[in-house]
Amino acid sequence: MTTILPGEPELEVDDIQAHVLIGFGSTEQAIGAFTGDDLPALGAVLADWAARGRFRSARDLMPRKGLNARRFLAGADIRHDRTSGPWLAAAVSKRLLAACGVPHQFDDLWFSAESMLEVPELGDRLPAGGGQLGDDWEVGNGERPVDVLLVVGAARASAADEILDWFLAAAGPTAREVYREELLPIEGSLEHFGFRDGISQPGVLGLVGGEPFEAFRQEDATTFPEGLPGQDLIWPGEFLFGYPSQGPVPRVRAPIRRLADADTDAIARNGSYLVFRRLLQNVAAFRAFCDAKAAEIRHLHPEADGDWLATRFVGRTTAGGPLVSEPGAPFDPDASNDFRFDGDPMTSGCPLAAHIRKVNPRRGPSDQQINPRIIRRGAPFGRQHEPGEMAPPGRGRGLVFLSYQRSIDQQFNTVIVRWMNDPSNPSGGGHDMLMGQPGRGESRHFTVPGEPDDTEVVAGPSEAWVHTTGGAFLFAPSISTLTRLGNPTEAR
Amino acid sequence: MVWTYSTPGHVDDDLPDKVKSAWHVKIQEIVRGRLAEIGRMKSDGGIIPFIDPTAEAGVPDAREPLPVRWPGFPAQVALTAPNPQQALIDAEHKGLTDLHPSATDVVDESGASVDCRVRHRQDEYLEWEAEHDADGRLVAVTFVAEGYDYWSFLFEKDPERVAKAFRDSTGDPSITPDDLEARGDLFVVLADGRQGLIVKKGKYNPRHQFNQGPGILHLSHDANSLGAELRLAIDSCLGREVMLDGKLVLLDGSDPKRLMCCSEGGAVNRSSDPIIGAAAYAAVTAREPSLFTLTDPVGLYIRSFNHEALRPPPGSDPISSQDVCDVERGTGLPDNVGKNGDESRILRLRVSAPEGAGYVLGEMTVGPVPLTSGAQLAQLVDMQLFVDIWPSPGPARRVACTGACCIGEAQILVPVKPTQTCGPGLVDAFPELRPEQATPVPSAPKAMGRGGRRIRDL
Repeated sequence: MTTILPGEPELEVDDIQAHVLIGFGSTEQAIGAFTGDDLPALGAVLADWAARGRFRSARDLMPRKGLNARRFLAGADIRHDRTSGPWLAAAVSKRLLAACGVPHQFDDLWFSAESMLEVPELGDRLPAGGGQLGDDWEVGNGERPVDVLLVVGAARASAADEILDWFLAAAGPTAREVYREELLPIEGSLEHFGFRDGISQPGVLGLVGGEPFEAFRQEDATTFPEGLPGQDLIWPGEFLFGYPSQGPVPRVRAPIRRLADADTDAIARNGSYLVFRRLLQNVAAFRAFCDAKAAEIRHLHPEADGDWLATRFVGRTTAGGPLVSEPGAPFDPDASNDFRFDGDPMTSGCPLAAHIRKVNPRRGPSDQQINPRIIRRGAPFGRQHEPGEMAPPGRGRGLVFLSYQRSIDQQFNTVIVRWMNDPSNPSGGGHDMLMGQPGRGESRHFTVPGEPDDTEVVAGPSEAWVHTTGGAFLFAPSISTLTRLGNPTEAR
Repeated sequence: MVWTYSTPGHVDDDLPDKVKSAWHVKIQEIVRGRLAEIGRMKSDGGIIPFIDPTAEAGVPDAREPLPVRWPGFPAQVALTAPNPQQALIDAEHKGLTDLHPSATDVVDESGASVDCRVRHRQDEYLEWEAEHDADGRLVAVTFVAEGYDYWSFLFEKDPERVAKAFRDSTGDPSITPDDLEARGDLFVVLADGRQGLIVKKGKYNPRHQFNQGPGILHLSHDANSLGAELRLAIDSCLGREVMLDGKLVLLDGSDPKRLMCCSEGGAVNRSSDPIIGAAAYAAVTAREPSLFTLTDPVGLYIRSFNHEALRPPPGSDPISSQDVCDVERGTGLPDNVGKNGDESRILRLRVSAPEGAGYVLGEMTVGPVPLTSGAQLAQLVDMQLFVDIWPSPGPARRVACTGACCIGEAQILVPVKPTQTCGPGLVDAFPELRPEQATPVPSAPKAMGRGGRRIRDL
């Protein structure tokens, strides 16, 4: 029997964008950013497309939950129903909401920032060739602001691209496309450094037609509601406006966090903040660093080579198996991802600053107990690195990071700025060597646990392999709010 | 080796040896008293992992120091405030609810009110005061982490020393020991008219108002004491058994709040107490069980201040932690870089704009947010205490839960006995802490005074 927690709300899945709650998975995708002198015109196109049902709702894609998105889409395109492609999602800037005349008194100062460049805490680096921060950004700087961000999933990236063309054409001559990128999945759900990505997404509590939205629930998870083994089930108010949020007791709902402005609160319902970052990955530099540092510490760790050290930075093997598991054990993200760091107060075989432990402390006693969660919808761009490659592709390769959350400050900021970029948080042990951005001109360090002594690995200020080249703080409205962007009086 | 408890952070090194010895004895008595109490609990006879280091058996030289960390901003305020902005205001409110939720006043023997309001929501062993200039601009914020019981002890031994410290910190040359002590017995008054003694005549009054402004020297919230830290660490070191599916199993430490509800070792709605309790409990649940004791000098310390979140005005030079932080008592580097924080034993920290910078603290921002209150800076402070651990020869002693918790819409955990039902509007937070065969009885609200004594009708 499936346990339903007291007070679990019905999720308004007809109104919530599918990209927030379900995602587009391993489909080929295109992402585009737009601005223009006539922002209401952009809003009107979004409203028109929403009214025509072009944005996929969470209900539309419910049938794909738990299935491979690429294979599912191939079948759906034959059926030609609401599950068929292309799958489309939209997010907008605060500037666009204001221009469209809808209430926009949001409570998050990060969302109010004119540009992501205004937030030095992100630790983004200056251009390698000199100049000001943002000069080498492809999107989100002064010349290329983001007012509308579209994400399209399709069987082929070219089909997704077409949707972006249509949008630009519909928006008229004052609209400007400032950025476009194809997001192509790498076989095995890898990111460019070669590690399996997208594991350990939180599940969302809530019901659809009286049944749990997340079909799998552990029956004995009395204290920590769990979906798939090891998957925390989180109250929907952590990701969506208008729902109960997470409190001190995970299985007991906390009140809905409302906006002070009731009009904004009404239009925000079923929406979510979206953080978008374009992260360039220098694979050759990362591997060279791992190889060199592994050689340096081999006298203390005889087993160390580049791959060994890289897995310490990540906390998982390339296939996704957590370091706390038995070596060589097969890994299935849906079945064998149930692990905690509470068996050992220090490291459990996983360095304190390993990427997975930085962003999700998993209740280890030496870890912080506050664990803000985000829903990640990122995807890689650029072709895969090959050994001996002379130069990376023209626009590089990397990850388009996309995260949904109810509070950019309390969730994204905590995980990315206060934890990943900070050597002492949440548990010490150094920087997140994989993705952390420690700030300009500073070194990073990472503690490799060992006997009899720990070993310190240091990366100098110039030793970097992730470089931000774009980004924006946005809001992904509900489908009904998208509909109203063309008619502000209704939005009130 | 002979173990001697030093003063917190090794401060006041110039104290006479007999005073230092008296402090050692005071801590030793708390430890021995509490160990004796838990030793009387019904158990399986296993080892009590918290070791009295002054006992004859002593402790081994090969010990591993382990910092236990928590955020300095009050978790309960963050949880209950309707929005983050209101949380900043709530955190700095002065009042009496740390004595009792329905406390309305403090009176002397004649019934006259005595202003004993303190920072009653700053309950993470960190308190702060802001300082403004004549134009109302924020110029400095001073943080303290020193238990009031140490200052009461100092006052008892050398009242003039404490008075001088306040004269220096406040700039008020008129302060005498008489100003710092209770001139008559002081009583807290509850909404229903009951009263309870909080300070005896002639004793140091840790709630005096010289400590409630920029001259702040020590903690004043009723629960922010060193004694509380010791009790918490000791109470949390026993294995806790719960009945699941008819079997007695060891409670895992994965949820510090659940553990705190079970052990009743401290205040469950704080960040600090559950984290400290869980760290102590890790000695029980680790694959290789440990013994531990609180590292000398026993204290609650500011670990780090994240100066990197502070932005100077546009066009100004970048800042370092040394530019904005003065460690005025205790030791340590007040930055968050590297492992330096692991050594920090900071007891008083003053944050201000860099000297000669041409701007004041209030002209800086925290991220994109204008800096207007000390509470914003408190969100950048981490705290810590230290334990020494070493291998145990056997498994830890196991006892039953002595408490449970209820929770309601307000998200505040309400401690109850395992046999008590939850009140109206509350549900069981952790049903597994209840004995399976127990018949719950209605709970009655507790009325607690200093040190956990029950308030009596007078």
